[in-house]
Amino acid sequence: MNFVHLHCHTPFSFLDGASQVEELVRRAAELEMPALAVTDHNNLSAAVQFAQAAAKFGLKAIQGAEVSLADGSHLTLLAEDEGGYASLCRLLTRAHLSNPRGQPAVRAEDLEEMPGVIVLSGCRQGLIPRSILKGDYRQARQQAELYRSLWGRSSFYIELQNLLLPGDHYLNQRLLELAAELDLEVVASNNVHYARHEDFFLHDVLCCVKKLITIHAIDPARPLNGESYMKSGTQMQALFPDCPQALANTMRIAERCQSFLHEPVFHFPCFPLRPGQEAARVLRRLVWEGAQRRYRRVTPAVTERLEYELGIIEQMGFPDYFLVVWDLAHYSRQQGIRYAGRGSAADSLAAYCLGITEVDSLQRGLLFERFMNPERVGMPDIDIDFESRYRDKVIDYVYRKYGSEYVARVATYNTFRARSGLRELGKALGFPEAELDPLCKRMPFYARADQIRSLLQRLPELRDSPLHQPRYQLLLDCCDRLAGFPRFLGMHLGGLVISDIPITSLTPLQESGLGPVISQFDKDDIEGLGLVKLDLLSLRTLSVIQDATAQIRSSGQDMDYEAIPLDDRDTFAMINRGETIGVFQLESPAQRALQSRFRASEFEDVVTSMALIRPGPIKGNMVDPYVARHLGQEEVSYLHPWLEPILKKTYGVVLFQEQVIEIGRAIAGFTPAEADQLRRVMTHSRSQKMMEELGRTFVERSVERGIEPALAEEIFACMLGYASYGFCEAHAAAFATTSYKSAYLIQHHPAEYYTAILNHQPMGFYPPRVIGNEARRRGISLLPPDVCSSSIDFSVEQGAIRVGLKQVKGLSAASLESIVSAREQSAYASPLDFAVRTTVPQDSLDSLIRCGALDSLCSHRRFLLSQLYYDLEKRQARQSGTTLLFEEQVIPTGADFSLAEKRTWEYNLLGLYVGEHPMAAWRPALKKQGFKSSRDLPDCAAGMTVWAAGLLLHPHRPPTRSGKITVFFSLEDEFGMIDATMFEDVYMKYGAYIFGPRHGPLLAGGKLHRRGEGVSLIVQQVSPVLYSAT
Amino acid sequence: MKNHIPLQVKCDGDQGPIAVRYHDKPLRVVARLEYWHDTGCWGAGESEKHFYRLILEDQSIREIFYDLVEEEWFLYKTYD
Repeated sequence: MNFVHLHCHTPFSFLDGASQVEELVRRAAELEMPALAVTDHNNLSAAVQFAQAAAKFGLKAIQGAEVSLADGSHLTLLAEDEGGYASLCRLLTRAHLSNPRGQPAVRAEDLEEMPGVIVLSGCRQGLIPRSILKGDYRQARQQAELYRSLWGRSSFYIELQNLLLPGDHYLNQRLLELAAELDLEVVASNNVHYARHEDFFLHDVLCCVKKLITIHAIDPARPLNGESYMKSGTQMQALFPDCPQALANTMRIAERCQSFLHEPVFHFPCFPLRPGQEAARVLRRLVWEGAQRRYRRVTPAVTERLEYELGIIEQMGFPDYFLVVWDLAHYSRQQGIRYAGRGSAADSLAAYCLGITEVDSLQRGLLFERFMNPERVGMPDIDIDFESRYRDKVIDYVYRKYGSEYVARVATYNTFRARSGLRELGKALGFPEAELDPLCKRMPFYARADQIRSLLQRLPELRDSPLHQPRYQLLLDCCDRLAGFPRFLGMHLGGLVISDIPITSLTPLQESGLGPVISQFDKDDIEGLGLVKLDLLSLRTLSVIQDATAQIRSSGQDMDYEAIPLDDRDTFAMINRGETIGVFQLESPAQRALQSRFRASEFEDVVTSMALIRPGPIKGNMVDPYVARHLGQEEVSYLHPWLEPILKKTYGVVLFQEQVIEIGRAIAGFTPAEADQLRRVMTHSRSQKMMEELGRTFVERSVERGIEPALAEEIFACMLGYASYGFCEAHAAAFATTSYKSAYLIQHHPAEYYTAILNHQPMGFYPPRVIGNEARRRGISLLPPDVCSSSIDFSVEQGAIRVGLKQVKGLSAASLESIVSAREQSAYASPLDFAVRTTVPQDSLDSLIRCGALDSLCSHRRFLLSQLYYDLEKRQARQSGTTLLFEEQVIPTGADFSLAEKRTWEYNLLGLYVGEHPMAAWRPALKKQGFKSSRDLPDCAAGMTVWAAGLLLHPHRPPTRSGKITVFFSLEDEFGMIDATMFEDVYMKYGAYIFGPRHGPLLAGGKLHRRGEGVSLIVQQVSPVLYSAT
Repeated sequence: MKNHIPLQVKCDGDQGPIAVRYHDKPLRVVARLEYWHDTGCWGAGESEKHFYRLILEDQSIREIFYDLVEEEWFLYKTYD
């Protein structure tokens, strides 16, 4: 039977589609249907994935949407061709942007201009069926006449659905009458919401999530039955036995519609040029000018490389794209906005000459092919980090320059995770919120919705989770099924596309939750549309650098960030001690552990460090052998002399992706494009079959060049072993510059740098309390917040860090402004004077007193709190021009709060310890019992059993090659940090203490492990502290 | 099925009921007005049912259903 489903919802109908796009396409292919249409509610987000899946299964993809009209009715729209698709994009954009967010509605007048669109009258929510069901046949007829006049009888069909619902028989009879009266064609659909009948329960649960009801509620929005699945042609024939034309018309429509979007048609941005100018020529001029600036004397090697790159850039049609990025860099420089190009763009010498990146790819021997080559399947994109506070200014510039009709922010598909799945589906299944909340919170935040069952088996902290009970099994089934379903569209961190044609011809736009207008496609799908993404990222480290260097200069010291020497011995000494908290990309426990034994002595070692501490090398147990070779403790060997020039800088190890390309070229004689393909297959963990095919080609081509087959196989196996986790060297080099220079600033200007870090929280690996503690460890005092002297931000005060008033929890911008401006008039004379002259509300005044910000006016905090009501009364009297009956000076009496109480409030309200670290209070008792501090550990012998205590920090379980769980965490005390490792057997016993609910410090006992200058603890036992420090 | 009267129904293959025995009186189906499926409250363990609204030969309009789990016919509703 020939039939095609022309009305089908995917999970992009957001809670109204219960089968993945590919599942639906596969099912249609199994049912031997030649085509399929996707018609999600008011969006086209599935379009690219659908087109690609349909191409894979040999189906024609018909793009469409089920749109909502202003009166709440629905219409099914199908794009006949790319023109029709563009019509849909424009229509949906107007529907979204001319209405409040989340309530898209197509205006009747917009329906008049939809060339290339085929319209079906819709489901029961269509205006025509709705009128019939209300008994108003006349209105149905009028509407049908109107639609026929708008689109003609060749593009407007009466849609029949037989979902075995009460009234379907009657409705279809009337619709057939109407079609006959108006000489309209009918078409059958099944309003598909899931692939198979058994998926009904998930669709029903999702409907309940959408309607905020439970599955026990009776609601007309819930489906009455499970008939909205993808039925076969025979099943559809049985549902419409008297109307074969309705089925045949599905085929006719499918034949009329064209398939597109399965392959990208490129839409490069157009850089505005003066008349007569040509992008390629302008680019050439800028590149050569840049080369002159960078090198002063342009060598033949530079010329050859730039000619090669420019040739490929022109061949691939990228000159405009490069000009766009150059212009952004140029604008940022002009505006004094710090930026740094990152990623594989740093493989390009042209990008270096244009000032986009700071990595000299020629000098480093980096390969342009890693960034772009004509045979590459995916599109290259350029990522630039900007100072976080000015990144949006750069984005505004893009919109101004190219026009909002050509620019769009990229979306992200926010999908159901374990926590959100349990919470939302749990509520729909009738579990109370109070019951679900602890279940969700105990689930690791990173867990996917379909991992819950396996985590319940694996993680000791979930051993006693109620989720093991049979009553939750349906909930876990639902979570399994909806893993990866999009929940809503978010905004990509920095992704932006600029098109050569109006962007709303390629993608519908809608408002994001954060405000800016976004495309309906994520970064992968937008690339599938042929748009080239620009990543304009916001990097707080660059703002920290900017602030720190400005502060250094304002204190009268010389500071030229660009001129920071890359061979500063003190900086390397600091790195080698592992004292890198706050250093960009070098501050994680794993990086600190590496640095303390790596003995970095030059910039290249920092570059290597970027690539070494990655999941791959760690998982592959590659870090220790690499360090051994670096330290000369292990011999460096090469499988073939041709490999030596390629692998010399990494001691014979394939560490960087660029090296895979070079080996492909040197050993097998691959073309640059072939070699990049080799790199892509290896680094993206493609199928075993593809790997084997590539291996055969590599060996054959190597043998042709005189390499022994066995050796060629060994080289391939070696690449395969390492390259699956290879890192892009250009990216490592770009990051390493920022990394090393931030280390330099910390070594030589710690107060300024840590102050800047504290001002840009949240950022980096550690919370403010750790940054504050590290500053103190380096001898920098932390001064408490003070309404008389603190700025709004943290500031440097005679070599110390003064806590900024903004750090006090709950203080509004208006309160902060009020404190500072009143102080500028005259200094505060007393707490009463402060209360009277500012507008700080009562709860914020309470916080200021408790965290010690009024101590300089009166240090008796209990007294200040007791006087608070009086102070506020006085303020009110002042404002209303009255006087109080009693204005007596009250003398503080009675005891103040204890030190412990004050410290607790300080931490709770500031998020850092201004005074003594809480572990200091525990220290005498701990010392008496033989516990070591972080300061004691370096003096202990390797292998010695020690016990230590501290505040638990950053426990995590990175992936391992064996699949076994290894836990890393730190214990923070008043002297610094103790890094600890816990293997699976110990974790199984004590994991609940690490990942379960936490109360106070943690005790850990184990063997002291010494590597290089660093020490760590291999944990054997863990316990929470059970006794009081006071 | 609680609250519902079991019925004896004669069907014609996939075409549905052609006769109903009601109060021991066999009645031919004159017309099938509607036919629908209801999954019921599946979360509470209810089974799926197939409903028919029929005109019987005595000109009465009745709704009957077939319970897919019980594999039995029941009277659902009688129109006055």
